[in-house]
Amino acid sequence: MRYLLRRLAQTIFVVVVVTFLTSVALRFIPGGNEVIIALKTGPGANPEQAEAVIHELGLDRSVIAQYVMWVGDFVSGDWGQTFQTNQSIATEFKRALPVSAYLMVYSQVIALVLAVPVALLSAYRQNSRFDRLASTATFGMLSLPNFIVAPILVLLFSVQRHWFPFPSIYHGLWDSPLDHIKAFALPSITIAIPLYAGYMRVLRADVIGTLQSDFITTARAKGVSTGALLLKHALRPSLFSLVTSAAVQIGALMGGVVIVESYFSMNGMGRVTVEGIFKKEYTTVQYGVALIALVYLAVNLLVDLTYAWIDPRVRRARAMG
Amino acid sequence: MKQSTRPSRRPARILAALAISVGLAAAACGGDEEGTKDTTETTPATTDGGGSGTTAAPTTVAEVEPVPGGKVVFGVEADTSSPWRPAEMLCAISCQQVIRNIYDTLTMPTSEGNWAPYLAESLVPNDDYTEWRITARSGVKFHDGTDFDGAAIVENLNRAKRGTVTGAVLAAVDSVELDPADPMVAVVKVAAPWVAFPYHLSGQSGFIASPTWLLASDDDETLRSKPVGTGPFVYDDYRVNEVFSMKRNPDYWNQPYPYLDSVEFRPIPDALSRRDALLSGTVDMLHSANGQTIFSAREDTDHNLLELTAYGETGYTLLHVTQEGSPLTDQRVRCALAYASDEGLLIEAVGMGMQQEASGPFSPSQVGYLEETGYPMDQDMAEAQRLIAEYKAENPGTLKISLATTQDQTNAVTAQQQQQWWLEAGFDEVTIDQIDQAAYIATAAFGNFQVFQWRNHGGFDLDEQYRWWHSSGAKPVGQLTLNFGRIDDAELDALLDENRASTDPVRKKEIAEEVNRLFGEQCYNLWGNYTVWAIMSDPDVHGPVPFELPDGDEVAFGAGFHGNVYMMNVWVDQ
Amino acid sequence: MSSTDVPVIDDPDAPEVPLAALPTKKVKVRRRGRVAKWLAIAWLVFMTVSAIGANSLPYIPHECSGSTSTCSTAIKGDILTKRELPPSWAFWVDPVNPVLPGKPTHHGLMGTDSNGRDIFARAMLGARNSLIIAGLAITIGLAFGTLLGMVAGYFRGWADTVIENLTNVMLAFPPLLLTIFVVTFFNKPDTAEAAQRPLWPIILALVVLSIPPLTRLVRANTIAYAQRDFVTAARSLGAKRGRILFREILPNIVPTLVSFALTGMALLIIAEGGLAFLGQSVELPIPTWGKMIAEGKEKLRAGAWWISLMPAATMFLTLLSINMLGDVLSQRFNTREAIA
Repeated sequence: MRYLLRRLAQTIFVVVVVTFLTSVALRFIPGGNEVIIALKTGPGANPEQAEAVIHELGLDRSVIAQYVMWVGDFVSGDWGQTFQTNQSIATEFKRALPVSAYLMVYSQVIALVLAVPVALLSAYRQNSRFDRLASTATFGMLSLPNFIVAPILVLLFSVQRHWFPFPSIYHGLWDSPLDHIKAFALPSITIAIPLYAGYMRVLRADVIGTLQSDFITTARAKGVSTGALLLKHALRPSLFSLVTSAAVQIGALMGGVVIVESYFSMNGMGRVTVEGIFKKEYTTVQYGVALIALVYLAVNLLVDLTYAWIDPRVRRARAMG
Repeated sequence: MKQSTRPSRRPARILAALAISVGLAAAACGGDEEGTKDTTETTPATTDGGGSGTTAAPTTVAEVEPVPGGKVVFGVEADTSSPWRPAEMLCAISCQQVIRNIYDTLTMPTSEGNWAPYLAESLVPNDDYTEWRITARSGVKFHDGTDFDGAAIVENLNRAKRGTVTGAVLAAVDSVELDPADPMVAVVKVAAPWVAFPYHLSGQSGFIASPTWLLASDDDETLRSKPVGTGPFVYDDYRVNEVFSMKRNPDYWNQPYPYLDSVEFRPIPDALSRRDALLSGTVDMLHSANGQTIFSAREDTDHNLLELTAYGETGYTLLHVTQEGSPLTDQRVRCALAYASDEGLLIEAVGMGMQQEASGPFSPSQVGYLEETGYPMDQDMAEAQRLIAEYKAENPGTLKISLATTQDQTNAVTAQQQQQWWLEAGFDEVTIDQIDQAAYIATAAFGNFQVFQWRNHGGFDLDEQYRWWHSSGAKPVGQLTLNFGRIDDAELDALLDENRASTDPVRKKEIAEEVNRLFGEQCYNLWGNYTVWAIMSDPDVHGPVPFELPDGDEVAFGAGFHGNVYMMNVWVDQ
Repeated sequence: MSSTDVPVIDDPDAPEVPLAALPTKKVKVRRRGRVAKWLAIAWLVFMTVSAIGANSLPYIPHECSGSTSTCSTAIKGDILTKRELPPSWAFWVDPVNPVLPGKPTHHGLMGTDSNGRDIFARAMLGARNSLIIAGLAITIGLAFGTLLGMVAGYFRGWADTVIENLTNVMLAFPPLLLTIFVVTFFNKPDTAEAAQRPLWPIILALVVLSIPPLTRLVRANTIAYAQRDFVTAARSLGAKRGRILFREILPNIVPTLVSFALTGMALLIIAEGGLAFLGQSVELPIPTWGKMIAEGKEKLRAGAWWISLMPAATMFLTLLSINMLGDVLSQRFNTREAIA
């Protein structure tokens, strides 16, 4: 219980600091308020307009008041419009969220579905030809940046064979399932490749460790079949690190795949926010960063709490660490 | 090169075309295209009244009866992503290509190089061209049901006059008022005789939006990105950087158009990606000014290709010529840059030989074009080094210069080549700044540059270039102006002013040629090549082809930007 | 792991398992593995030597002028005759562009790019920039991370709490966004003056990325070692804190750190490439691998594949070598798989 409270307090602290930093970030824009006014009103704003802009963004108040105001806006969903295009920022992120979520889910599924069997087999036949091939391949995958992988996939599967659209365009899963899958296929695979490599290595190492433990030897002595041995006895105790890293990736993938999103023209959370930086849409960046950080923190908190709840040893490990 | 059938020049009919245009921010869009030298980005094009030059007829068979229905996905080079209100748009080619389907313009350019009324029923000047009576076409309704009338024109033109970009275009307009005697007529009074005024109304200044919607969007900012016009298509959805989709306007006044049920525009900034999108079947049409794309398109028999050159822009390198302390204030340094550069080589190497080398700001179909302007088109490194040495002897210290370009790789190749040449000519340091698309045009407009890759100066009449070159726009750095290079030249001013007042086509041609020579002699800009726009499409897409205007003339492609085409008579096999 | 643009180096919140609990069985080093290991080391040595000596090594053709920090790698001749030449060994590849009689049709180890520059020379100069950026970033990150991690892990208490929370805050910001923000923030506001774009904002951005995971790693290890007998013994003998930290604990952490730092460096090289891909890395014409790959991508389909693929191959081999070496080290030192 103490651990729970401590973890919760920590997260709240981080949330406050992160949102505070993003909310006051407008004060540190190179060029100052003039830049923001020019962006918002177009060149040649009169003093009243300028004042209105500054007031609207809370830049004429104290830091604390601005923060409180910003949090109020954030919570109420009243995020205003982009400076130059008058798009509702909330709507943009409402559209971006499912894009990021689908990308995250699909790439995770692809990576995990492939990583688990390969890792099990690799670990079971340690140093076999299969293991060496699979392990070497993971190094290759980790060394291939996604900005190299994506164009190759597009060349092979969009340009030469018209299997997948390029650029991808978002279709709701229920609106048109086939288009949806086609649109997400290539970006998800691009993301899944290094993800797979990481998972495979983590799981392989852990399974090797597990296979050396006494209870496996016992099970083997009892004549348990290989398949059952791996799936029922070896896999479960080895899942700890894998599940942890997969869980952490949930948060990281939500805002961290800008290059893939940009290359495939998918407006996910990361791309919308980065475009905001490039276009000097500072309020968009504020909300984007805060959102991504919140998702990340929430996922991590949830993961930790779930663990603590499932496995008391974590609490002890935590207490030690 | 395929032969282009350009409309014959008819200066006599054009008279004082001032097409103004639009522009400014235009350039913010686009981009990464350009297969050639300097063309970076699009530019504020001047060609509101731009003429069309169809180079190659699309490989469609004209006799086939159009089939209504279907959908076309069009890959454009940028998401202009502006508030879609005519007076506030920052409208480069992609924006024009998109928004023309929503808004009609009061006039349209004809294939003869003239103007003709389009959404307006007629435009009639008084004897000395200081007053224009614009009559609204009757029976036209906006997409929201509002009636189109004289008041709608007044509302739109007054907003255009207040707009940043369109305001510069309409600076000479004194007043726009409704004729008390006729609710369908708007009366425009201008300060001085303005013969070519209607040309301007074929571009951004002539877009007509629903006054009801304009008023409503004053209060509700989110409405500003949901445009309401009278055009062939009706706004459906707009997602920044992703898609602008529109549906057929069944009640379009110019029947039987449009044929398509819906059109979708997808911004794909990367030229290569855009072509890949066409090859993958994801888009049905695209536009491109990229040399590599045009080069391979000519060999690609699986897709239609349409090349547009007439009244087009020039790709060039813009110099800031009055920046305090800058070496570029010295004519010798500017011309040294020109002598050191080899444009022809860049066209071959970077533009795949797709473009013609430019001798000045006017492309071959424009008034004022000269094969020889005195501008050093051939590379002469010895002369460049001599000029630089002479300058350095008088101005000791390191001679350095900053060159701005976009993130586009083709432009980067050009920039790095220029850098190498200029270092060879004797510059001590040449730094390259790659500026993000979104900030590119503002950098030029505020004068925060020394050397800048650019594309501009298409159109019919020299007067269209007035605001790009007249010293009244030579504002200090940090102030927004359309005279990006801050040119301040009394001789140039005199020529521009004389041209504005003149109605004599012979004299106007002389003036334009003199301006051309003056630019050659002063090296205010480093001329590159004449832009070629290519429209590629799937074989089942028919068109675009010019359509017939209400008064019987044939419309010209390129209203707004010389690469623009009309979607309303495009149709697809079902 | 690099599924994200700027990879998550470590599970920020993974339960830290003390070293003592790690599996200890020695992994047999196989013969084949040894060959691969030496190949990797040889490649890295070659790259490092080339990178450091890029300015003076005879096999890297280039010219550096005095007043600019950039070196020209253009080969002699008119751009038309030397641009986009395929590598010498690619005998089956015809030149993409028309070749004048008597002019070369192939050039060098990696061919030439669209500006007629030697790609091999650029790849080596690019190695210098890529390795300097990533290497400096990881080194500085290591210095800060080690210091913070050891303080937190050894002293615990409020110092630990403060450092932990700081790390948490840093980790909560999306990494690539943070990097781009730092880089654009320190960019000069206009281009009205000729000035080199500074390198340090990029390094700073990458340092910021690398500190939190390194801090966590060091902290976990410090805690584990602080409970070991030899530390307790030293303490009871009255050793000073500094001595315990730097003489007793640090040497034990170093192996783990080195293998982790290698992997981290590979990730930072990728991160720099991502920045370059978004146009946010060093200015033209200074080469980095990511920039070179991006520069050539337009020509990929037009037949001149080597412009993009040669630097990509160089980068890939380097990353592969670093990753394999990191793995070998972590097996040797029995460190836990930390990158997952």
